[in-house]
Amino acid sequence: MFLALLTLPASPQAAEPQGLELTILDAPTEVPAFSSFYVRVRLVNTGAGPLRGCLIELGKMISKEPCVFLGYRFWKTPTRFKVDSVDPLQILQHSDILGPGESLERSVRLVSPRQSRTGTLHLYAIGGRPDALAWVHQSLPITVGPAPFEVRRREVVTLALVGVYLLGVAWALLRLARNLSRIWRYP
Amino acid sequence: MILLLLVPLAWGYLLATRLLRESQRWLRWSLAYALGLLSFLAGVNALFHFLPLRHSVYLTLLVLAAGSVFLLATASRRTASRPLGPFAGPILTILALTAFFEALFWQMQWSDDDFYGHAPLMALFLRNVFPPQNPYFPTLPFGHYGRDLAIAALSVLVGERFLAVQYFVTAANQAAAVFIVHGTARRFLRSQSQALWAVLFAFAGVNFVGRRGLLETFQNNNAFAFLFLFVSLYLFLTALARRSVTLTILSGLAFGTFALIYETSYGLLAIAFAVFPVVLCALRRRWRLRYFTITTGILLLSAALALVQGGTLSELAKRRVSGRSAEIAQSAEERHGAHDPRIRIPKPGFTITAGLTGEEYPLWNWHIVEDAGAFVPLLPLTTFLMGWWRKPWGLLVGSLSSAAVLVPAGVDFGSLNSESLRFLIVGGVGAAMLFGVSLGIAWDLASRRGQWTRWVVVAGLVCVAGVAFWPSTRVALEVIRRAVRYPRDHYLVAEEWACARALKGRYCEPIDVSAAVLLRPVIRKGERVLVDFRHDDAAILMSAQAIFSTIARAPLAGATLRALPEGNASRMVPFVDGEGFRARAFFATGEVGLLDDLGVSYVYLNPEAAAPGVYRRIQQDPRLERVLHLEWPGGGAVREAYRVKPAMTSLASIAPEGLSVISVDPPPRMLAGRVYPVRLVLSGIGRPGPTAVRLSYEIRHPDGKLETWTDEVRLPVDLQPAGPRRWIGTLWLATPLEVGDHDVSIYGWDGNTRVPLRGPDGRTAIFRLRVA
Repeated sequence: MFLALLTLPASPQAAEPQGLELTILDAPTEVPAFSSFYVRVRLVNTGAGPLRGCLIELGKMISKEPCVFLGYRFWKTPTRFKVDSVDPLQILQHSDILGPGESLERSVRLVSPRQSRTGTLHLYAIGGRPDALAWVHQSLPITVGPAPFEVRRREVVTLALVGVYLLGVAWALLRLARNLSRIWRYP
Repeated sequence: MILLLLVPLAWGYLLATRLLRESQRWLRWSLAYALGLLSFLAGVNALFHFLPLRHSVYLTLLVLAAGSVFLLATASRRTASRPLGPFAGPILTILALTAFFEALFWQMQWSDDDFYGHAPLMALFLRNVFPPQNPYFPTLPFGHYGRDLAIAALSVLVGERFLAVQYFVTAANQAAAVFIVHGTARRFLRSQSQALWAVLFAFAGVNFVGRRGLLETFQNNNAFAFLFLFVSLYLFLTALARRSVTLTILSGLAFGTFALIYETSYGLLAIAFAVFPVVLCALRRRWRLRYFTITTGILLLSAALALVQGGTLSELAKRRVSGRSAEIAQSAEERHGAHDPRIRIPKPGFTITAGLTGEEYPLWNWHIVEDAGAFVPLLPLTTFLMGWWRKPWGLLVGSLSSAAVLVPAGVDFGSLNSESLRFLIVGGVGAAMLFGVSLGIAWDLASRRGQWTRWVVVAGLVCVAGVAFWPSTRVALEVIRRAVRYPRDHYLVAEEWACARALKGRYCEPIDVSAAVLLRPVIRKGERVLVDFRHDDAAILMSAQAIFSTIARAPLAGATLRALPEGNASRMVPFVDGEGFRARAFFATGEVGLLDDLGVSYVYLNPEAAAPGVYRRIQQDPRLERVLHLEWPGGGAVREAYRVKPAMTSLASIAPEGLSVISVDPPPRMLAGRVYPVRLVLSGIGRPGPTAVRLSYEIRHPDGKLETWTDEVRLPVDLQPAGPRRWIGTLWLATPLEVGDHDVSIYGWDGNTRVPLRGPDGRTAIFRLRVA
């Protein structure tokens, strides 16, 4: 697939970009629903200090020192620029350091939404001090096609198994009710 | 092929009907399944010592088919059938269905708790790796493996889809256990309601270590361990009741095979069985020799089997006989990994070691309720009631439960003490069953009283049951609700599940899964792969390695992690590298000699993660042949694998005798778990021109504790002349995972002899490094 995709300026809602530069180098334009795909990006630390990979747990920032991570969101830009308003991607390990002026190129793995649709993928490089993160935005037009056969097969199999369970329980409850009513009538 | 699964089932059914003459219909079918599975495991395990897995499976099926024909022709038929009662039938059906589907749906989402250990083991069985080999540490023997072997062997009949087989077999075990507990209790308690309460409390009424009853305790070996614990109880009591030699032999063999699945439960049952004849004679106030002879026969037969069939007990016996214990397991951590504890009786202080924290607590501490459930404090009372009401089944379960609580307090297993939960869960389940039986007795007594008394007791019991069963009911409903709401997140195919399981943003790459699939036919038995998964979070790193090992069906080398036991706590401790020093050194230098030391046959790498110079060196090295280049469409992710060819000539290097270290110049700032060039100035070689020396290093804590005990990085170091008898070289130093100060001593190698390098003062050269 081909490269250097449409890159738009940072979203007006985002905080002023500081010390980070994000470029999308390669990404697919069409992906199946509920599947993994890769986007290749370049990240440059244009700030004055080094950045580590951010530690994020359950949507909360754990890191105490300047750090960086990527986040993405399909279709709509987040209304609040909080860590839990995007799906985080670790581009750098916590123990790795991206020094001032240094850059790195990585293929990062994203997961497409469950439903088919055409729209925009919003990708963010989020970095800086944990209490004042800067959000650098890039967007990418993308079409999410129908889910692959395996996904639909999983749906059918799981729902069929649930059906068997519910039928079995219903049958047992019916028997229990019948036996109870029989005992009630003829104690 | 899948129809061949009916052979063990038919054999089990014939055992249940013709030999055991079981009259309860549901118990008969559950026993058919359980005995079929156990016989299949016993046969495959016996033959797998000599034959490949596939041949062992088919030969076992042949033997079971022949045995079935023999039973069909010779043993007498029993047609009488006792159905379940009007309440017990539907309630047990709902419980068994819930047990089955809760286990199935949970596994379809998460596969297993200890996927890291179990799944690669099953995958290696399919490569005919036997005796089982630790997929990450080839020198460490593996403990119990019955469950994993049974699943791997069954998967041979269904296209080797062993994870799907695991899901269904585990689920079926859960359902079968419901009927076996109920059927056994019903037979020997002679009460429908007491049996029903017992099984309800075992599966839904007891909460321990964050799990709600046996309904939620099916992960890892649990579903197998509890199913065959209940089967062993049934067979033991039946053998005592029937006084038949055939049943004694059957019970002994089945019980012995159980040792292959879970040796701790086997040991507890052996204690309970050994005590039971005395209890029974005291209860009946009559001494019967046959209770003792049958029990002795079962125990001896099972022990004989357990000590030779393989698994932990056989391994211990083998070491004891050959006196290899000392040489195999020198250190506490090796003994822990090798399941080779130093056992002491009695344990000082008579305390239980908490599983997660390693904290010691006495039997009367509230902590025991968290670990074993709320019914353990009532155990003395409920066991007394079983004696009072003359319930041999209750006394047997009481003995089992008491042993399960007393053993971790009375026996010091050294570094394995924190495995106390393995015992306490059995104690908790037994205590819950006795509590259930006590409620059943109250129910039975109330039903003989007047209507008002009956309704008051019924209302009270329903309230108790409601409170006790609600947590497990809620979890079961949540699992089913998730299946309805997110059917796409429930997987039966390992390759689809592998990365999907990880939370978004976690370390799991679909390209690694695809690469593992492609490498599966390339890698052969006995070959190891050096992988380069890197992550700060040990759990994520272990998950990535386990998925790769499982799907590629290959043992791994590299920065694999192992727990370092400290004192009693073996779980919540820092991890140390398995072979991470050498692995990191290779990926930082591309030095192929390190691969010979590691004994790997393949290198799997992400070119993006390697430094350009190192990647070029790997690509151009004549000893590395690229066997895989995989590019993910769009996004540019790439993975490669290289076959390591054997070295044709040994590395030319000088002998290190007479060399001394003049100075060591490490970088000013070093991070943990990285590799850095360290500039060395050496003296003492009287030879002109550039040369090379083979060096290694040991890293110790300042207190002298060796950190590189699993690993020794040996590297050729090119030396350039830097004046008369002075040489400069660069040693690539892999830093430890722990931050802080460390002492490094450097050695030279002359062939296979290690020679410490001296400093200018004539003593062994040691330099201190600090990693951040």
